[in-house]
Amino acid sequence: MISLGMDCGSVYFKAALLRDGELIASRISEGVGNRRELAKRLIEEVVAEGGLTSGDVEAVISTGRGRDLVLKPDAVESEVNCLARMIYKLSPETEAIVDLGGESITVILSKEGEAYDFNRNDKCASGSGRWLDVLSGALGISLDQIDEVVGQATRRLPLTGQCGVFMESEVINSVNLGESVPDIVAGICESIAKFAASQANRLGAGGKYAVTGGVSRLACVTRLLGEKLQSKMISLPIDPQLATAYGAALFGGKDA
Amino acid sequence: MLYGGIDVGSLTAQAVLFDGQKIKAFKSIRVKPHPILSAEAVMGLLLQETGLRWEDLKVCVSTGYGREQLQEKGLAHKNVSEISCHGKGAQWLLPAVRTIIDVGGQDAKVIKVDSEGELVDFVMNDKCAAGTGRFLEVMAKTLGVELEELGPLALRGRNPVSLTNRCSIYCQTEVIEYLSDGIDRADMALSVNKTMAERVIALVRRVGGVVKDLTITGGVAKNIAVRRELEILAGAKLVGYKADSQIVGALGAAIIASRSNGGRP
Repeated sequence: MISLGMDCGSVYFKAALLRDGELIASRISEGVGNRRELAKRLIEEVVAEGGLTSGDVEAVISTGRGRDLVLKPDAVESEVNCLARMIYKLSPETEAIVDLGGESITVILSKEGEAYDFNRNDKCASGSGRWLDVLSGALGISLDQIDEVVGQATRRLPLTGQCGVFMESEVINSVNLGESVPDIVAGICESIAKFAASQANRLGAGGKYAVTGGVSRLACVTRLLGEKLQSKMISLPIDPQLATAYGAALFGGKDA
Repeated sequence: MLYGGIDVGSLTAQAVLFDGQKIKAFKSIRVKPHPILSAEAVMGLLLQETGLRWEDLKVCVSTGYGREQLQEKGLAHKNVSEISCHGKGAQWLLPAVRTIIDVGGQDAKVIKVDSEGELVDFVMNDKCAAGTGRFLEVMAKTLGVELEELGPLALRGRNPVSLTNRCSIYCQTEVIEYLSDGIDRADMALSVNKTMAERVIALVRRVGGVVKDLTITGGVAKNIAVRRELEILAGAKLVGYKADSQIVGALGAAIIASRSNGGRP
């Protein structure tokens, strides 16, 4: 059974191609330009990468903010449902997922593939990938430099704000006042972990949890989150940024 | 007799010279990294330009960020909250004013005053960029226009679209998407200014709505499209006054200075 999950996020588009529930090919691309064309192209590319043709794909499931950009999908699912299916397949005893996405942090509680509660910070971009982009951009640091830069920090600078637009000024001010850039970046990562942990605690997430989403690729963020949540973090066998697309593709499987 | 008012905001700092009857001179500059530096710069430049010295100020009142430090440093004889200063300044300019919307660079306030300019109620947002000058700055940059062009561009718009009015970063994503889908830029600018007005009106509702006369102060008051949209949503005219909208806080401080008993003998 060949199925394809297309997660059109607010920052990145992710495509996951599965054969009988196993990930065989994937594509990740920034969601810029003509987004409808991009979705179509990524689907073609991921199918080709899997050594298949479009006729081989039995189901295309779309999700994400831009889910309507996919032409005639076989099904459309919410990201929350996709992540619940994903965790049931990859780590069935894990019931909590902290998704650090491009535009928001979502915490999900699920059981046996069904999400029974979740909260998403969708009023404020604080702690999201875009927020991180704004702040690290103000320091002239790209996202893939963050872990390395944090490695040079001697402390985590406490940052008081939440709004990314205002914190951009706070961060630049800190530089002008002589704070070291690594310490500031460590403070930014600490803020993300703080927001995510408080969201998880508000939802009552207690036991083992998995972290997904592009921002979770930052080791410093997941480490700081682990310190705050004090429960066991499960590592996933797939790229955490693909988790939602992978879960979407599972809806096309035998167990759909 | 000369009185001074200094107001250090988040993006700009203002100084006003008041002679007890009218505004003698005023100045506005971008802030320096520290309020003391901002105050020294703005009042220093204003005094220099008018051929006066700090000693010529009988009383000087500070307000805004770091107002206590300005007094401690001897740049002011007294410090007063920006809300009181804004209320006094607006009431002096418009005796009939009862609701003042002040939208600055990084905050937005609604101040309700009585017939003496004394505070009756107020609400402030300084946590979220939506509904503050920064929102418009971000949007202008996204649209590729100067901040001053945003209002005039919006007035040419005919078909606004609805935007999320909760977060500037989310809004920016939507604007980028609309632009890449080919939306007319004037329509986009109009949508952005409407969203701005909606956030500001939400703040007005938190203090029980408009009591006339209504006016607007702060840098954002210079945006003609936001003013128009606010009047529509408020169901009331924004009454104009003869002064730069950004100096109302510093003016209020100078007026309070003129009525105080302290200062230089």
